[in-house]
Amino acid sequence: MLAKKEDKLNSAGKNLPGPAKPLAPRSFFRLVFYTAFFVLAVCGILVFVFDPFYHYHAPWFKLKAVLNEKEYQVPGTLRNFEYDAVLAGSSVVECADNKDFDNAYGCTVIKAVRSYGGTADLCWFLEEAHRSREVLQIFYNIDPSALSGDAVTTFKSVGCPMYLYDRNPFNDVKYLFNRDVLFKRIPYEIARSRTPGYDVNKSYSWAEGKDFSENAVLEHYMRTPSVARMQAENMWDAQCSANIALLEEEISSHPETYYRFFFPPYSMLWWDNSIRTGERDAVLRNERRTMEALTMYQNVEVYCFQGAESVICDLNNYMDTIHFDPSVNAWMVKEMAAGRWRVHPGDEEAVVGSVRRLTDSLQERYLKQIGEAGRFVYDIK
Amino acid sequence: MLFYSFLFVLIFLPVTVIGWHFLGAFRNRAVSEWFMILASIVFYSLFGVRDLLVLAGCTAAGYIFHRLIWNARSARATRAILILSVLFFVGVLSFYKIAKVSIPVGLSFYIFWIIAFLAARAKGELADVGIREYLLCTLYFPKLAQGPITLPDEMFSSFRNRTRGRIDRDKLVRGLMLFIFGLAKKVLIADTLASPVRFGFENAALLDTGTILLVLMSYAFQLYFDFSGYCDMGMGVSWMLGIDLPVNFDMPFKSKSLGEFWNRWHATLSRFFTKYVYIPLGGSRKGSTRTVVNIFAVFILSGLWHGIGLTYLVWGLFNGAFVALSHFAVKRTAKTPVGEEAGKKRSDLPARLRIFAAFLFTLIFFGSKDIGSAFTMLRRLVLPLWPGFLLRTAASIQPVELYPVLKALSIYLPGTENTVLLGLWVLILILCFFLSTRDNARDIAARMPLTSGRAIAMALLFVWTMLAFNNVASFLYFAY
Repeated sequence: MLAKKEDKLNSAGKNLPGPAKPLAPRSFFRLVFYTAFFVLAVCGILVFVFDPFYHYHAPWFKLKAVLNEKEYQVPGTLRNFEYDAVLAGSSVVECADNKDFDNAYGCTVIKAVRSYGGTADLCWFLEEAHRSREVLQIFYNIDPSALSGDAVTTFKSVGCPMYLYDRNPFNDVKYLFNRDVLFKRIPYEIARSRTPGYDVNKSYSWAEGKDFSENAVLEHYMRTPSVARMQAENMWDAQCSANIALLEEEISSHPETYYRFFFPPYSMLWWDNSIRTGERDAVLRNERRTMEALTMYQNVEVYCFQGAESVICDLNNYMDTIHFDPSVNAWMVKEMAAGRWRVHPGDEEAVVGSVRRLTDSLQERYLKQIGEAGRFVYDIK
Repeated sequence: MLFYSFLFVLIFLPVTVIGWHFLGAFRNRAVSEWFMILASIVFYSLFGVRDLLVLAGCTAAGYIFHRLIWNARSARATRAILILSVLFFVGVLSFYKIAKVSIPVGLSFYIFWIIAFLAARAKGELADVGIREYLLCTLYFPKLAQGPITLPDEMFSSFRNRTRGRIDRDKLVRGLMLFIFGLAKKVLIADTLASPVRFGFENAALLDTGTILLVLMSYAFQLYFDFSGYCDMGMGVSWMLGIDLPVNFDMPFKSKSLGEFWNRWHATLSRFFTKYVYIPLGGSRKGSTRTVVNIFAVFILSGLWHGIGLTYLVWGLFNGAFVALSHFAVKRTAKTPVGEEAGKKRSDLPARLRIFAAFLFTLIFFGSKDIGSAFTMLRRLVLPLWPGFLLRTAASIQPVELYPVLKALSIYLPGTENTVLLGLWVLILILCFFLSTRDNARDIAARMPLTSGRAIAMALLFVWTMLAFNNVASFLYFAY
């Protein structure tokens, strides 16, 4: 009887929680290794499946493509999405509606945007697109600054996530094992994708919540108090030639693709600044040279909206001296589709001349009034 | 190469540890030692070619001076060569400090090691050292980029005493744990605090008193967890290789005097300055005035070591003054007869808080970009002000792990996110205080029972830190 009771107590004692049994160093190490390996594998699989930067594939599980981080998402979308046309450019095309291009040109367009629209960067994007599929049409926004900038890619120098740009599978660990991606991008992708009203065609658009008005633009514009002497118009010839060469290489190596280049309508305040800093003539020379080079090709159309007085002189279209309302993007597509504002071979000098005359007349016709009303903020540094 | 990089953790570390132990089994230890030298060069080469060339130049110069000292025919010649070598290395260091060009990673750490090596050589404390052994101890990668500043006998005996072909598995596992603790201190704590610290120092003129206090506390803990985290990683890696490194952070916030604090905070630098500056100047043996002068000399030098500028000089002066006061206070206490009061056990807390407050005060000068900003911050700290950017400073934390929660708050309880972040900030500081006043990571790693629960916890901590590698700020002490 007593022996039975003792057995019972002993067996009960066995179930009591006691100090954890120590492991041998080797077993401890193995357990750390296997657990870490397992958890990392789960993290990697989660990132691969949801892939918020579309580095491996287009969205799965009927999720929408949530595109709001151009530095992270443009390379992946160019490689993995379904499209046959590309809209390349700077922040001024970010607010364009892809559907406008799709409807006007019967294509499926995707954006390849880069801050400042550097030529080398955009050409790199286009090359990625060509490598992944046949691209039938390219709409290319040329910013004046892109022609005077250096003709080299800037991804690395500005700290872009190069593991998403190169094709080295080993550095994908930076993407697969990344707490930003796991805790921020994936939840955001899922939540945004399920938000009613989210429009995939307005990818990378920053227009929501922005104030497009004359007041907003004038607040952003710091006018230089004096007018500098106009600088030599050939001061950017070397950079411009290098950028034109990149564009020509892109065009000539893809004769099957049809290109539409367009110069966007920056506001009259941008032109005012370029006159006051003495850069206007060099800007126009760059543009003329670029137009002359591009219009030579059979598979190219060039449009210039810089002479659109009703747009550039109405500051209510802008939030700052450069960035315009999405309605201007829509207007440009319509105009291009209708063949207006096109620069035909031989017209380059005339088009640039009309922009020169318009910008020369701005002071008397528009800016004087604003100045007299005391609405300019002067940069007195 | 950084300790908190995928390249280091996934490739360099395993290859080096396996290679070192595998080649260490050979009778001829030269093979494994050349392997370690090569590995250290590879490790350092990823900081850039220029940095590698400076390291190569200093290492070569150190060896040449060493040979000259070895071949010197008289004590006078030995002394002259030693002085020349010290001038040369201090000149190199001063050039980078004064020229305000970016300092090669770990420059002063390896220069101090070389100076200590040459001094030991000149004093005859070391037997002849061959090129392989010299390179091994100079370039040893766990201490190369950010210390600790080892003494020659520590390094040489550590390498000479290792046993051929025997892998201490227990030490290897505990080294791994210490490495993970160090990673977590750096990546999860120091880097989280970096944002409010940066924001606070940049906007000091707009902050209220409470915010400045929180910013200064965050800065103190950021420095502590950043630097001690690196040292833990270095020591952890070194344990994995079977080599001991000296302790650099020995629970400084447990100190009862500022002198003790500096012997526990960056202990190997304090030891270096004590041995090679304070004691040669006479230490505390030449009267009170001379002691004070020597203390000031050490701290002014320490300030200038951190950077050439008025803020660092003032930081050094204040520390010198505090340590001198503390030195005499400790001396007076020691002389006081043991009475009824003295016999009672008194709490260390007031002393610790005093030291912490003095440390925070000096950080105003250490962290400010110029003396004007430092005084602005000081003014706003001393004259009670409210309100001023408390919530905005708290908002700079932005922990990624809480992104979904904060986003949900912003939608369902708009305006409360920053209050939650303030609470989180305070919680982090309490956690930091708790962690920094308990046993240090080295002791925990050395004593922790190896249970399955702890293995899983270590693995999860390791993964958590790895997931943060992509967003990590560089170590604060790389630039010294």
